[in-house]
Amino acid sequence: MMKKKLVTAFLLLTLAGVVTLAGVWAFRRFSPRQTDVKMFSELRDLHQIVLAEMSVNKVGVISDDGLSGLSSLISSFKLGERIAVYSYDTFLEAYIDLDGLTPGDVEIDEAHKVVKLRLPAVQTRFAGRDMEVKEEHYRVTMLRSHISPSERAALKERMNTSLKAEVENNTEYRRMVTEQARTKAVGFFTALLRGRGYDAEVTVAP
Amino acid sequence: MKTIIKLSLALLLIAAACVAAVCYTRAAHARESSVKESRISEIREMVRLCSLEIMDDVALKDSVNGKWLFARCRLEGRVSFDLEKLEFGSRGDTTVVILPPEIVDVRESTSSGSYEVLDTWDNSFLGLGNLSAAEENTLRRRQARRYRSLIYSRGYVRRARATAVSTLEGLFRLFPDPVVVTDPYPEGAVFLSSPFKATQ
Repeated sequence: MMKKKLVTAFLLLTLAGVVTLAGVWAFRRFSPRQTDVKMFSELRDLHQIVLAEMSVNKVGVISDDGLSGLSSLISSFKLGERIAVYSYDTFLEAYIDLDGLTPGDVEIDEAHKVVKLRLPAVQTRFAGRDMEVKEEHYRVTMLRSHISPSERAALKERMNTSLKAEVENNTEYRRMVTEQARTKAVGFFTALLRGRGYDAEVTVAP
Repeated sequence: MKTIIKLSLALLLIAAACVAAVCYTRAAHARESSVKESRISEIREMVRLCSLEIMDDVALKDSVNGKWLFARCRLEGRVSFDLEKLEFGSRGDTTVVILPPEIVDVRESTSSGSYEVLDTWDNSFLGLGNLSAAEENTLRRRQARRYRSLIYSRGYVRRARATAVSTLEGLFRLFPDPVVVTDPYPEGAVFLSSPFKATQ
């Protein structure tokens, strides 16, 4: 009898402990948190010549079609449909940094009026994205809630992460914009020097 | 005693089910969205001397049609000059190069978390209005115009033009024949309140 009471008490205490731990975890996980917001500000002097810019378009969709399992089942009970398609452009630019250009990169032959110019290598970087999003399609019917600014912002963040991963994993984007930049650089500096009475041999470092 | 054990088990199962439901619902919101493959829209050639870059976290608090938005945005400002619009003159045996009007671009940064909506609310009677994409875009355009004005009023354009002059002088010094670079608009060629706006 005593043993039975001890076992029962032990089981009850264990159950109470587990429920308490679950409650504490849920409270800490879902209670509002104070977040420190760090504000960033930077100013940079640059000596760069941008020679080509690529616009990369990204499309994102908010709809119930992407749901599966329990979410899809819950969604089937909701009255109405909810689908929105948004897009925006991100910019990838190719540039040369004039800080990499030294007097040794320029050879002048005054006798034959020829200038040999070796430009620094073309580099690429992201040059921002559109502030606005273009609403390609929007259809929210019956009792469904409208797409909120928070949802659009979260979708834009997801699109941004996906786009940056695609550009990093596919060198074709950077190769195309770099080639255009190299061609433009050679053409511009050749014309600039020709305008001053010199024939030019312009090359761009690999 | 059996009743107490059964009750405790039931409470535990209910608590576990509630936690699971909350976690699943939050995850479902993420699964509601999907992203398509990127597509190249355009590749533009240009020759732009970029002399100043500004990166700023700014707060956006604005309203349209009684609906308010409060968001944190990371903006990138860029001051550049189209070198294909350089004008050349001469003063004796010296070539004079005239710095063209500046181009001030304002875009959103591509770093993570560059646009975060912190709050939205509606000042109308029932307060049930939702800010549409078109209304939100209106607020973003206004923000870009304000930030562009800020770039001028903070003297960033003046600094960018001075940097551009010294960069071009350094570049032309490498080439034959003497060159002088002049700036007819040290405070900025594109005056936002002036009728003589250069097209960008």
